[in-house]
Amino acid sequence: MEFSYNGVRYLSSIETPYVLGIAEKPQAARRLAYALDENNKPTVKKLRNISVFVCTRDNNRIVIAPAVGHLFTLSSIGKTWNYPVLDYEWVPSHTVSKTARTKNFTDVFKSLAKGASNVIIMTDFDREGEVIGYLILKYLIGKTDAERMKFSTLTVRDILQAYDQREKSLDMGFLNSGLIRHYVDWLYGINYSRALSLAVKKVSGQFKTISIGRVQGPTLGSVVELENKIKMFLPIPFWTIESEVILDNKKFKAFYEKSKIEIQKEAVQIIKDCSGLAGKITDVSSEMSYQYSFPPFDLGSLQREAYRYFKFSPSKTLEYAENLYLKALISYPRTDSQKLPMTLGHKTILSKLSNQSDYSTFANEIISRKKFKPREGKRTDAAHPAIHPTGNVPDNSLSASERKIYDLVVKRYLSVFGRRAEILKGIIEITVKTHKFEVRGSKIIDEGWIKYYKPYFSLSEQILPDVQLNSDVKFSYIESKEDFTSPPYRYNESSLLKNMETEKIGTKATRAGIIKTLFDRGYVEGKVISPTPLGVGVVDVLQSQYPILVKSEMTRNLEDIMEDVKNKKTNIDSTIFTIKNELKDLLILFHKKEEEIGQSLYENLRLSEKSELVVLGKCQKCKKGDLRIIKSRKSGKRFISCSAYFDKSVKCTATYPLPNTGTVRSTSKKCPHDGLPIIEWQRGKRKYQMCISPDCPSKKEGDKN
Amino acid sequence: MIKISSKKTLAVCPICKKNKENSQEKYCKNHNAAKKLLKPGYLSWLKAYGSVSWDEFLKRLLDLEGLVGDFIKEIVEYEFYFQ
Repeated sequence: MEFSYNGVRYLSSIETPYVLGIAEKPQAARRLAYALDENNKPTVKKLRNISVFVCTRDNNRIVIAPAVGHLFTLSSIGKTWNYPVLDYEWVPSHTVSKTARTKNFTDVFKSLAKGASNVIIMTDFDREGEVIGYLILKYLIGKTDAERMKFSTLTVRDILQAYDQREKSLDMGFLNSGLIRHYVDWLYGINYSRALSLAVKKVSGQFKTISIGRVQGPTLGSVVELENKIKMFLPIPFWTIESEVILDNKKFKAFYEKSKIEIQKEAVQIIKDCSGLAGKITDVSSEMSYQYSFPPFDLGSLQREAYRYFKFSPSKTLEYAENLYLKALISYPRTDSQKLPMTLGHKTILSKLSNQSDYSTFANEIISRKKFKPREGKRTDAAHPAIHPTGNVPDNSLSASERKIYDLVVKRYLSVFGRRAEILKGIIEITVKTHKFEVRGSKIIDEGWIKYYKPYFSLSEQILPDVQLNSDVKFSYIESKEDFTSPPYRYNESSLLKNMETEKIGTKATRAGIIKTLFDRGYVEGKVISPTPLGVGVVDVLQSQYPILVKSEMTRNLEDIMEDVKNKKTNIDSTIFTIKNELKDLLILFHKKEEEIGQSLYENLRLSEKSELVVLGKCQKCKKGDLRIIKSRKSGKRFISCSAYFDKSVKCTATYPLPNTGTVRSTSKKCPHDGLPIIEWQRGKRKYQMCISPDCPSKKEGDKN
Repeated sequence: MIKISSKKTLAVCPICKKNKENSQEKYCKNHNAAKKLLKPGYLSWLKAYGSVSWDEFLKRLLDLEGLVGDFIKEIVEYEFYFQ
């Protein structure tokens, strides 16, 4: 059959009329179709090389076509490269981005539009899913309302339930809150990126893209703020008392009553008082302590745990979890919830898990106890429950990383049904003159939930011997140790994510992506995240000239605005109107300071470019290029390479390794053996000068120059 | 060809070469703040050790690689060692 849309004729061999289902991704479309078809055998039609599924249910023909995430993007209506830009429109992504592979998907929906008697949006149930479905509905199918299926897993049970209980129309509040996030991010992103880039161009005549977003600004601001605290840190001395006692012929660490002593004289006096190394047991006590299981996973806690145990970045964890969701192995991962309602059918899930050899013992143990009420956390999410397994058996298509995340999710799920762990904690108090020391022990009485969650959590035991009150005790040693207060730890991807959650910067769905963007734009680097000179430069200028872009208040306010739109407390059009006016005022303020901001930014950029480039000397291989230290922004790893690599006539491939820890400095000296530069490497108090070549004869001789 | 604005440029910090926010100050914002931290820091050290000279305090700060912040280290090196 043929359909015509916008003057273009499209071919479709699918019999009309039909109900058109919009799925978010190809894999989701397949699962939805197989679940909805009465015989679980939908027909597959290839349109524009995209699989479209035709299934039958309740005498209805349902055609399910997939998107591939967003098929539309916002674009400015005017074509001049200036600011403010306040007018925008939705356009198909493939028309503005060469890398967007969405044209075929767009064409498929266009071709299916006319035969559709009704439309059901079957995208993921969250703001983005709502927006993806709505834009296809509006711009490709020509409708403004549709039915909506809401599901948290892609299991047959959930899909059928979502179909039977589908909403008859879209939740406009929810949809508008998703749309407004796009509008606001676009408005702020494009205007401030243009404003900053143009400010630099005005001063220097050079064009350099400097981008900053509504959420990236405050996130980068937090990284730079922490870096400043570290750079401004002045250590203060303190002392600790370290000691060891012998009890029942075994050595035990004894803890002094004060963990930190701030005055040296006091520490010296304690050591003097205890110089006899003899004490008396003055108290023996024990008490039962209980440890309860951790709450079920919301996305943030899953990302943090996966980082802690596997060192997966938050964005990678989300990617693996989404793959597991699309394979119907776990529930929808973009959730804030720590709740597992009884309606999820825990007995059924546990029974299914008992068929998987890795989990059968513990799943059966939980089933036999017949207590299916999980321990839950406080956080809730209106759309989805906490992340949990569906019980479906994974096939061989799982990657090693996906399997790790799956195991973590299943074990966390099992653990919330476990009993509390019972630990008997004992303390032996030893007194030396007026000073008290404690020997601490613990004995696991019942592991409870911990055995379900191993190896991701475990407890260690220290069994204390039976001792007599008032008996004498001999110390092996009692010493004081000088120490210094330490600067705060830099963020890693996991702790930065946690900080964003605490500061309410971004949403569960966007945080991991924002961190990745900061790396991609060269604002931060390394596994232990530190800002690059460029990142510091941008924040420094904005903080002094235009702080709103690096403070979290603005982005937090916008999250509140989105919530109000969602709850229909405010109207989307009036909200956007207000936001545009506020933005216009802010940009006028920016324009007034444009030259000043541009000047500071340009100076900072020049300094950052200089400090990023460390030239060690001339290359001995090609005699043309300079040997420079190159640092990977993502991994933080570094090496030396020749600048003539980029010269097509030379293409020198000389490279030399560098230690990845410590500080490397140029010494301007040359190695007497091979003429290559000598660098200085320092880590802590260790400092060496060495030739950059690993094959240098000096290294074979064991010289460290 | 790089076009440099005719706008007056503020004097730069002698340590990091960044523009000073206030031309009356000797250093940039960060190095100024670092310098201001030295006195209360010294008083904390004095309280902790009972007696320590200013020079000893500065010398020992420089030895605490990895703990002492870069801004503090730079101001100590610039103001008290290399001048």
